Amino acid sequence: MEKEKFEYLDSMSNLQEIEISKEDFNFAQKDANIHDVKIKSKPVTFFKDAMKRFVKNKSSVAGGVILGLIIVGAIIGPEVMPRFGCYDVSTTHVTSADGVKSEIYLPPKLFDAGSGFFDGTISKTGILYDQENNQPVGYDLRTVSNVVTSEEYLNQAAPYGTGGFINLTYNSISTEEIADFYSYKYDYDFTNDYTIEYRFVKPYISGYKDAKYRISLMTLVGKEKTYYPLTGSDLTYTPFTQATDTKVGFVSTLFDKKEEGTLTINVTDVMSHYGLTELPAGRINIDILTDREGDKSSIFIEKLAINSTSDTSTDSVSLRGIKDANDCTIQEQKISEDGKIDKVFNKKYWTALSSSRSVLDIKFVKCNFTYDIYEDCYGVKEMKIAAYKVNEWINTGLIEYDPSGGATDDKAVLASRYKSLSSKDPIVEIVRQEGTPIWDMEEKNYTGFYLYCNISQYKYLGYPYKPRYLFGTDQYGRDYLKTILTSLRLSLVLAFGCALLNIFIGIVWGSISGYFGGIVDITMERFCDIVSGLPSIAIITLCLLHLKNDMLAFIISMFMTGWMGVAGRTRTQFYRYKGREYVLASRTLGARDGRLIFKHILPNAVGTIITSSILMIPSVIYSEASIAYLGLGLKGQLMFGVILTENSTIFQGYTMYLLFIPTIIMAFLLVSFNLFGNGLRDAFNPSLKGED
Amino acid sequence: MVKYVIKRLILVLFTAFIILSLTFFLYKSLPLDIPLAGGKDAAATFLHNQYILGYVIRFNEPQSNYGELLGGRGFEIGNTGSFYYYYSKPIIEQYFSWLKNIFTKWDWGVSSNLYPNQSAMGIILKKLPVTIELNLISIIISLPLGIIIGIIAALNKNKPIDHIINTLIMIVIALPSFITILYLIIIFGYNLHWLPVRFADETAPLAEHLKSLVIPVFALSIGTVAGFARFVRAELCEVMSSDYLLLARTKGLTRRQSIIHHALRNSMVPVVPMVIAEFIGILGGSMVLENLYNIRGVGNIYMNAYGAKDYTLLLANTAFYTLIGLASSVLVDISYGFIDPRIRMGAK
Repeated sequence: MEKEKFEYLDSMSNLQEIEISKEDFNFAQKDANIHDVKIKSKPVTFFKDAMKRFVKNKSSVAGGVILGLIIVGAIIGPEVMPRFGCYDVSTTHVTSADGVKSEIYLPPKLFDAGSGFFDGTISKTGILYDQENNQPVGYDLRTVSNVVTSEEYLNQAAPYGTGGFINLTYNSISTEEIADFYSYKYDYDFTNDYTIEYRFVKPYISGYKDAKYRISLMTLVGKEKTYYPLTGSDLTYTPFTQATDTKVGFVSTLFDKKEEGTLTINVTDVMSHYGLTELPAGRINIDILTDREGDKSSIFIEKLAINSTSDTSTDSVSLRGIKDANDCTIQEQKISEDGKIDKVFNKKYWTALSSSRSVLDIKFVKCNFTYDIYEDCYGVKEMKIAAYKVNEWINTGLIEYDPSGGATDDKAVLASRYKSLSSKDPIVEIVRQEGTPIWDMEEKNYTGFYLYCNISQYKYLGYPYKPRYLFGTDQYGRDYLKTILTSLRLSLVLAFGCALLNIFIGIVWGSISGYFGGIVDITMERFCDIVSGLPSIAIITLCLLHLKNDMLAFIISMFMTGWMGVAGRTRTQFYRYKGREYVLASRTLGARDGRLIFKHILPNAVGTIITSSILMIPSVIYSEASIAYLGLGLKGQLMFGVILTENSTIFQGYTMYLLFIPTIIMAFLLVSFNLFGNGLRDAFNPSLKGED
Repeated sequence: MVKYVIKRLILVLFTAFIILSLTFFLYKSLPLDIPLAGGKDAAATFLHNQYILGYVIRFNEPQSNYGELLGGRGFEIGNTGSFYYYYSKPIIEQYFSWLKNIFTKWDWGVSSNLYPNQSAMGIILKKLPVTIELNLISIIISLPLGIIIGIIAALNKNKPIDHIINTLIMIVIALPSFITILYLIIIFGYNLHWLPVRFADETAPLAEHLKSLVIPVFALSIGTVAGFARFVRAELCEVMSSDYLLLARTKGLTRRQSIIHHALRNSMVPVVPMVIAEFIGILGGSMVLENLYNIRGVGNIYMNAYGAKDYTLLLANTAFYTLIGLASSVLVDISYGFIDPRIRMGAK
């Protein structure tokens, strides 16, 4: 083998020569297998490692998933919502124009009415029940179900009460006096026969004695009152005049519990009995009589009906106490409503005003029921449609209608005039047409008529099908789900923007401060101290006072309060890394400050900085809510915190869903942000695990 | 140590001075607020006061070369028949007057619109007892509770009870207190009717007053309890895995003895500054909470002063909050320094 010559310098810097060949080199050890093989698995990067750690933390992953769902919902939700039967947040039907119920405060609905859960119904309790028409007062029967009624007795005359008694009481001062109650109108002409149906009940008021009563005809000629007592067929009594002849006449015996009957007033009999040739117009009179001076007497009248044999009379009948309110408590009880005198005391409801002592035990029915607001708002309802609306429908091709034939309520005629052309046609059935159609030469249509129709209200409002709002609607009639998602989107975008800018400013500030240290650091730190020493509320207030624009003031105040934390964290990270050997090595190799900061130190620190700044995002939403709560501004903005605040005073009633939904979302958002943020921080910086 | 304390104090006073000066300039650059209610008398008294304090200047006749902000408004002082025109001084002049008033007389000026012509600091001090009462009670309740829960969690580390406590702490800390108080009001106020739905007046009897304390105290302390518990748990866990505790066990102490005599005591060290911070921090009161439960505290004045555009009161209130915040930070730092000599300023 050939040997080659090599030259080299030895330790004394003398040139030496050496001759070596390849054979001079031997393996010290030569095994069949070489053991230091290349590692086959791929190297794990910093982020992958962090990801691995993060995935192990189950609660953080759950938080991240919830957060992701909320954010994705907020971003794409408002865009795809019309397809799910929800409408633009700006579409409002607050006013109940044209007789359509406004869409405000519709409760959450997902399922059909009657399923009992998220079905858009609310339960109403203690609503007055109309016993005549068998329905809750003020509610349409088609919107009402599961009616449970309960009876209630009140000593008060009010609409929709039935039965009960009118209490005639008399507090006698002397036996000379008689309390009498009479039909208010004078002019019973007494040419017809009358029957008086009566039912008197033994009173049960303590301190009052049972009274005796007397029913008589009273005529009035000039100022002279003459009484002609009646007792059914037994007319064996003589007429008398009040105050002079009190004891004369029929006096009922004290009755037991209840006394009822029909008293026929045969006018000819009365006249012949009393020897009269004519009977002037007069009143029908009830007296209460007492035997002893100073007695308080009382009678309960349950029914008093005055029936005329003739229909011609148009009088209304009233019962009236002639004594003042202390003695006789009935002021006036109107007992007829349509002019016929066959109305009775146990009419369906009293319409009179009276003090509470005068009527007793009036029965009211209260009811609890399930009220379907959606049906009320979107169901079929009879409405009066003006000509312009009909013409509008004709012009848009929904219907064909020819009003020229004039007013009618004939179903067949109406059907021949009307033709439905589209599925959007809101008319279910035309009930009648009113008014005289006039041909408008300019507009080329008929005006001046009205249609009374059963209208499908959701079509009338322009919806293709009956809307269902998952979260209901708010006080402006907006779809609450869409409102929340839209506002959440704005809030999140704002929050992300604020967080990004704050992180940027904070990193720049903290890098400079942390990297250079010394006097630069101290100066910059002092500045941070000053800005963070000012309470954030004061910053917001000052911004609001100076800028007058609350949105701008809010954004600026968020920028002014958020970055100090990031700067502090960046500074700490810089202090941690800037003394490391690799930085020193790089500096030795001639790297400038910029390269050291951005290439060597910042990349190592940025993960920790950003992950620990992630909680800035919910804090922006929190600030929104705080500002709106404190009444500092942002009123009416479509921001999540503001929406939450606006509805946060609804403490009672079914509209509490307006409070529940945003607070629950807010809670979920904050909890999952915390879980996610903490998990991320732990993953990026295992040494901080468990701390805050 | 003394040097450290002095240095820290000087620094914080300097910071406070800068902040308040800045705030002063920002408020003074707004149009001057003059009492609107109370007629001319209130406004005249206010301006006279401002004149005495040195913020405005007055003349017997309108002066065309003045009239910066007030536009030269004329008012009669009392019934003396002397009629004056008032003008704002330049802000920098007002600033020196202001400094003089504060450093010599501790005079923060008078309220303009909210409580016309009443001393601003006086108003704040009058409202302070309610806020202090609320916070004192909530600290007294939450401190032992938080420590006990934290200890329980730490002693049962990584057992189900620890996980439950941890999760609850997490949720409670994340939940904003205004949501908590809303639900408390709904449940206990409106549905169960156990507690009042708003804070009792000053004139209310004691029983009613105590009853109305329950909801705000609960809402205030629940977060503090969770904070303490988490802190104590973390500290105790760290101490329990330390070498000296192992030594304590190896020399024959029972687990109980070692925890009570060695671990607990040591873990309590950083809790003390936290208590100070927590107390002073919430002394300012949660404004939102005060607003929601109608508590007439310091936070409530701030809101009302903002609503009434009462800048003097706002400035005084801002000063109050700033001083409270800075005081808490400096107290915490100093107490840390006292308790743990390893912590010193500049020790990076």
